[in-house]
Amino acid sequence: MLFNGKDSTLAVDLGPDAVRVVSVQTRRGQPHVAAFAEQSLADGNAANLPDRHLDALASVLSANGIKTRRVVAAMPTTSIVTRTVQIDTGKSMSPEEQIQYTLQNCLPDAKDLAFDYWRVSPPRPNEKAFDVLVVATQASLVERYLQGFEKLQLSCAHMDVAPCAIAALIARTTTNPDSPVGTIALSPGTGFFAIIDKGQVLFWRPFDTSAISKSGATTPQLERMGEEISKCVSHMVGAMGGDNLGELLIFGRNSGDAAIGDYLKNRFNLNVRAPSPFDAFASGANSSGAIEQPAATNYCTAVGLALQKLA
Amino acid sequence: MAELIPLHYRARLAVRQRVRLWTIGGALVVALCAATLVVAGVWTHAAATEAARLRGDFVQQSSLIQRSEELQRRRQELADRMKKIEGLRDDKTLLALLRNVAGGFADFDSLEYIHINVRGPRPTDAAAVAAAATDSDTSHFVVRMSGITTNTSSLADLMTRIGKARDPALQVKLESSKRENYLDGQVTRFQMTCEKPGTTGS
Repeated sequence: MLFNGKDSTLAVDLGPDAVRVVSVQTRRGQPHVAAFAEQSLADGNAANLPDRHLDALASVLSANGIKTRRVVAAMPTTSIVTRTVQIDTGKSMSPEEQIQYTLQNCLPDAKDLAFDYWRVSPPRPNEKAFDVLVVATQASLVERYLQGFEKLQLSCAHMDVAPCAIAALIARTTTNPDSPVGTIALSPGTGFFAIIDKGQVLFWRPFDTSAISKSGATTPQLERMGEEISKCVSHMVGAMGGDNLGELLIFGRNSGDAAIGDYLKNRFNLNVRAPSPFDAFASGANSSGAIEQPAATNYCTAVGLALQKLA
Repeated sequence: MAELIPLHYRARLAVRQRVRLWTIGGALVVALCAATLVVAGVWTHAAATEAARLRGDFVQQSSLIQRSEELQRRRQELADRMKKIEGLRDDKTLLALLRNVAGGFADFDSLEYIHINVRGPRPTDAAAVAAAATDSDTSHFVVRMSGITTNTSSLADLMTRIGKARDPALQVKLESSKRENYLDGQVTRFQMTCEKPGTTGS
């Protein structure tokens, strides 16, 4: 690894239903997929979710002979809290202190807090406040994952959240890079809608997908999901002053369901696509064998994480 | 993109990576040094072995050379000795001197002691040595002798006979003579020296 000219990264998606890994190697500046695999989680509750994730990760690494030790990972979205916080530039408190103060109202233990944020409102002259999008989780939970990685001889270089990983993926696959893109990620039991602009997440809202069965969605279920997305779009129009989504991309389970695509297309009058995450790589870059839809779409977060480190 | 890894963990990770890089680098340097030392040690050992072998060969050949030189010296000494003996055997001057001296003595003359000192050319002069072997004139000689004769007249006759001898000619010089009693009568005891004519004595 030191001298063979290859930069290898293992992207780990700690999903709510499974652990998915994608090993990407960079050779002469060109990323190549060296390996990809997934391992379903054992049954359990939310309290032992990290242990189940790490057990599944150990299993998938040993089963597939993956030797890459440099890891980038995405925390499970069920463990993440996201808020849009308004930062008052007139206050004496720093933005971090203002964010902590705000999060105290929505998290049980303000001391056990790990968060990151970025600005989402466009800069204005003489502004007295601006909006930031905050993602937060329990610091002890992050520590549990990091310690688990160390036990597996893995070195975690970056710990992110799934919407940001997908933002990196969309930045390489969108057909209209100047317009914001709406994206829907579906997984068993949960999903999220995010608005992404120029590789940055502007808004993100999780919603319940437990009503959508594996075989497909019924009209009432689609209506419920559409309402959630509609609220997000309304928030975007109200808070950001625009309704200029270029297209809507769907990833994850049931993303290829024609009923879902047609419903979203008719309701929001947008171009709806369900691309394969592996399309972000150049032709022939998938050296580990072809992976086709619908399995490929489940790797959207892992591929996005890998692309983040290549950006 | 969001970063949820705490700062202290990232710092620890960076330190660990640096330490690992330095460790690997140090290990490589140590391995290189060890390999160099091993190669140098092997080379030194091979050189020492070769030097010891050469030293043994030298000692062996040196003793052979010394023994050869000793043998040559001994052979040279033997050759010199044989040459000396050959010279003595072929010394015509000595034989001629003995012949002339013996021819001079009559029936009533008696020779008691004779000392012949013949000196040829220096041994380093090969040409003179070769000439001396065939020409007795190149030698220088002194014959000292003592004896008794009947009277002074017979002593004079003896000196005359010896002085007439040729090849080589002798220049006779009476050193001393005196009358003395011998048995029931008197005799003349003499000492004389014969030299190569033209020399001033030794």
